[in-house]
Amino acid sequence: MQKPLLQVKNLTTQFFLIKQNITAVDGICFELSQGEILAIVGESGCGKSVTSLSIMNLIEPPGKISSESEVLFKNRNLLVLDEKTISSIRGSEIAMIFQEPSASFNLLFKIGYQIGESLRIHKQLKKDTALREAIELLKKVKISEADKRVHDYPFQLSGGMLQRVMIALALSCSPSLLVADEPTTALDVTIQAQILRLLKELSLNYNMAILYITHDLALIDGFANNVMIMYAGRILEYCGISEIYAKPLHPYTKDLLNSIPMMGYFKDEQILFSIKGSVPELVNLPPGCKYAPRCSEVFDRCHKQEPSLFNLENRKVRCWLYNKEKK
Amino acid sequence: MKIKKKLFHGTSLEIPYIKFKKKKFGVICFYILLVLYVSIPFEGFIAPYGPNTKFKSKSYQPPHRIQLLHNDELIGPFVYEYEMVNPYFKKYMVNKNVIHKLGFFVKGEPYNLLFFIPTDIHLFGTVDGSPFYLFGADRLGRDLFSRIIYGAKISLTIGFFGALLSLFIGILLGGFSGYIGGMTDWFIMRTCETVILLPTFYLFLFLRAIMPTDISPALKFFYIMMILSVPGAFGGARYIRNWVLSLKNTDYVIAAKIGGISSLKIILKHIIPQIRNLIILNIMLGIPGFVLGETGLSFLNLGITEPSVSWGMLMNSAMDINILIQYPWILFPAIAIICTVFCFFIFGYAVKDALDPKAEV
Amino acid sequence: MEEKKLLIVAKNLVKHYPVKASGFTFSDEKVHALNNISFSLDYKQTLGLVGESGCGKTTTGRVILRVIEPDQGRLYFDKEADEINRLEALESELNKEENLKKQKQYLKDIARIKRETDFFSYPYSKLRSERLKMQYIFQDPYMSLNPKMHINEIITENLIENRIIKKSERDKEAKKYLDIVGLSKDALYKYPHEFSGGQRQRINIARAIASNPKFIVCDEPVSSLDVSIQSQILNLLIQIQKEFNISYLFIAHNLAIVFYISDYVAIMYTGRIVEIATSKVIYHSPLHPYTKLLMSVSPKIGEKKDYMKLPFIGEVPSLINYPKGCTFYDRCPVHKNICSEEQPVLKKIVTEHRVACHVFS
Repeated sequence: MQKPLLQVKNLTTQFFLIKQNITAVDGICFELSQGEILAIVGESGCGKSVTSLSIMNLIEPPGKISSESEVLFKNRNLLVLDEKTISSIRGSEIAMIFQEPSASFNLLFKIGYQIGESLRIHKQLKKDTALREAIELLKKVKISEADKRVHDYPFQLSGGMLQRVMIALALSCSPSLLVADEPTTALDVTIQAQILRLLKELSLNYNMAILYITHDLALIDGFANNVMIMYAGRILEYCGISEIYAKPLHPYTKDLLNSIPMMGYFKDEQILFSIKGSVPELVNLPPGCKYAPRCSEVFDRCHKQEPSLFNLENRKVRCWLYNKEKK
Repeated sequence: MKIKKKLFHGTSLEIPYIKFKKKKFGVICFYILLVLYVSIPFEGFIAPYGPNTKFKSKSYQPPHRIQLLHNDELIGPFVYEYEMVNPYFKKYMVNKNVIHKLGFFVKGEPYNLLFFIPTDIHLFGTVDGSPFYLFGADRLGRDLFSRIIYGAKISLTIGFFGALLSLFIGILLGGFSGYIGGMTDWFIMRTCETVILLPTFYLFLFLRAIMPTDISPALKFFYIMMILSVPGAFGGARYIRNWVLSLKNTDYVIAAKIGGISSLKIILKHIIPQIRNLIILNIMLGIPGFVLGETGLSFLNLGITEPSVSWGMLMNSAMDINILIQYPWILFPAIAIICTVFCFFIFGYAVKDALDPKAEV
Repeated sequence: MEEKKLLIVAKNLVKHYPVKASGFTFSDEKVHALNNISFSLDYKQTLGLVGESGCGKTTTGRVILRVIEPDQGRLYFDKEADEINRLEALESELNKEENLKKQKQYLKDIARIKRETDFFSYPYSKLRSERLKMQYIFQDPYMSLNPKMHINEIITENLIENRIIKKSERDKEAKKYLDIVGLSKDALYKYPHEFSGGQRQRINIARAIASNPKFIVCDEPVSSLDVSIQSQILNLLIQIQKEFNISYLFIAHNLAIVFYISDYVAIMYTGRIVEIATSKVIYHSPLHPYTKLLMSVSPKIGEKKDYMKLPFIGEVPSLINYPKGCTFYDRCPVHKNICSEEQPVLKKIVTEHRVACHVFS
């Protein structure tokens, strides 16, 4: 049994603001194997972005990761490493791509130079070797005329191309884990499909694990292996990709799937289900299950006590409906 | 139990207010400035004498030393008489035989409290009415302390209203220019840039030179304020115009246009309020500049002139190095200027950091 | 020839943005944002406008309301078919007329009628009053509400400015619309930042329906919202349409949502409408290759997409160097020779289904 590539244990991240303290992520546990694509799905405020930043220990004050949290990457706890060690891991073994590609590049330097920078630092390559590697990387991410594009500035490229360049940059040191924080949310549907196709290919060819964060539950079909639904800083459901569509367990997942208009729905034929209420504010979380105020299958215990993450063959659900102990 | 309503509670200024309260120096400077401004209507009360009360026989008298013990007896605060021994070099000798007792709320010269209540009670002074110089006297025997108190009025108000006026003109010009756009914008901006290019100091001199000399002090005050604020307004106009340019394409401005709101209303209700914080900051950090500007002009005898008093004018008497060496207390107004400007800076930057959401507390 | 009275008849909308070389000079190049867009919309109907970024759908929405002035085109809003036909008959007469004097007379008549019939030619005074019948819902719930205004002001600003209600009736009116969109009256004196994205979008909708419009341009109203809120807003829009007889121009890039809420769907690509039909017809039998491409890459739940077997997708061409043939030529799997020579126009294939493609004509 191979040990998982990434093990997140009891991850809790809090933000200490002037008026209040917020627990953005509360006791998250999950694992990621080599080459696995795990999708973290949730709406705004659920803590998915904070999770990804916490894993890479990129949380700055007023945020703070609890000292009881552990992030084991290849058996080393990333949260206790000193800055020098973890800097060498970030960018080479773990790479990250973000939502706004234009914000991740320095507009004053050519993209060839910026990709080369990572190569020069992590692999200690010389300038011309780094440039050649950069061209190779651009070809890997299917950018046409890579040898010309490498001399372009970021503002000369479209959003989709920039995102590919960001992926090239992320791949430069052959990472074993790629953390992708909503990389296609700002892009068109067609480009989104191309990027996903690219990522899937790269994952298969290089045995690279991907932690893919998104709010779009429909997008990851055919892309991710497993999916994790987050809500108010907690995991509500965790299972394989086919099961989440065929047999969703948690009422939130079910409600979400029912409220997304599918292709082929028309307003005079189907009524779109709306989840009542709205995403809770992290400063005002209710006691008990956090989804209880909006849940259509809620009962008494839900309001009083928060359920733990129950294990059911290959799946996990945080819901009293699946409580194994009989009352 | 009384429930105190927190200041700024629920508004967007609440967090900046909390942050500001943590900046001790900023808060201290705020209170100092508050005291300075609030005391302006009480200037007659605080100052023992009027700004032009002369005592010919006490020319350049050094500051009185406040004594408590006379012949080892505690008889309360008092001062000794200073007698002039050298009328040419204005040297004094302390006569320990003549005692003038000091007191609070003493009767003195009549003046108008709060500008309209005639009274003659002063905060402190000599009980018997003899001249008392806390900061020494100038050449004509006028109390420097009183003159500093009266000078505060001019310097502080020119500072504040000058900054206000400058920004007001800047908003009018920049807002109009940025919103209309096109050739009008181009034309106004080039005008502003031309004015900015003119050397400020010589511009001041020029404008001052063409000022008619026979106008009333009040009008003179207003004219000086205009000289200081108008050139600065052109620089502010560019700044405001850039903001208006970036704000005029926001969705809510377009929504207002679709709703048929007039352009003037859009500028006033939708655009200007967004830069409220910047405007406040500009005023606060601009005031010391105006105070110093007035000081500079009056120092060169080009600003406020007799019979009005301003700090700059008081500095004018300190121009001569010989006078400074012999009678160093003439420099006291400088301390007042430095303290005030310093307080404005500290307070202004404290507010700026508090308003900036990214600055650390 | 128009046959019945429709709410909106848009004809031949063109908008080309000149490309700025620097400062004042413009190069000869143009961004061809809208190229001959024509469509019509009946009362109480929704036309969905879908396409990727840069296709011109937002520009269309803004041009319809004259937020952006078009270079060419006509917009007939709530006009009888006779009026439109009369104007067009006059224009065709003008084209046939050779006598100069009669031409001038025609031109004068046409100009006069245009000022009364064509929304794009309305003088400012008429525009202001007619504008209230058309409203706009913005995409970004954060930038579409003035952060410094209370909710009751935001909702009723248009009404008060155009003297439809008095200031004293403001709260009552605002509360009425807050009720319709499902917000409590506590919201009246709050600021936008106190609300979530979904709630702000409701306020947006309240503002839009407050002026009793017949037509609302919904510019990606749910794209910036959380998934669980999207359906709430969509349902609200549908309910409001039924209750108040409003027509929508629903602009979005999410195919599933557009198909759900629209009666008719127009697929846009590089500033042209390439296919237009009822939503069911397009869903069941898409004809244009671009429509088929969009449908194949749009996420569908349950239909497991094999990312490895996607068709060639390609990239959207630049709007500056507009090719003389079909803009989809490079990406089209079924292109013919004629496609690179001549741009296809919208032609009726069957009733209520029009496609701009040489393959189908």
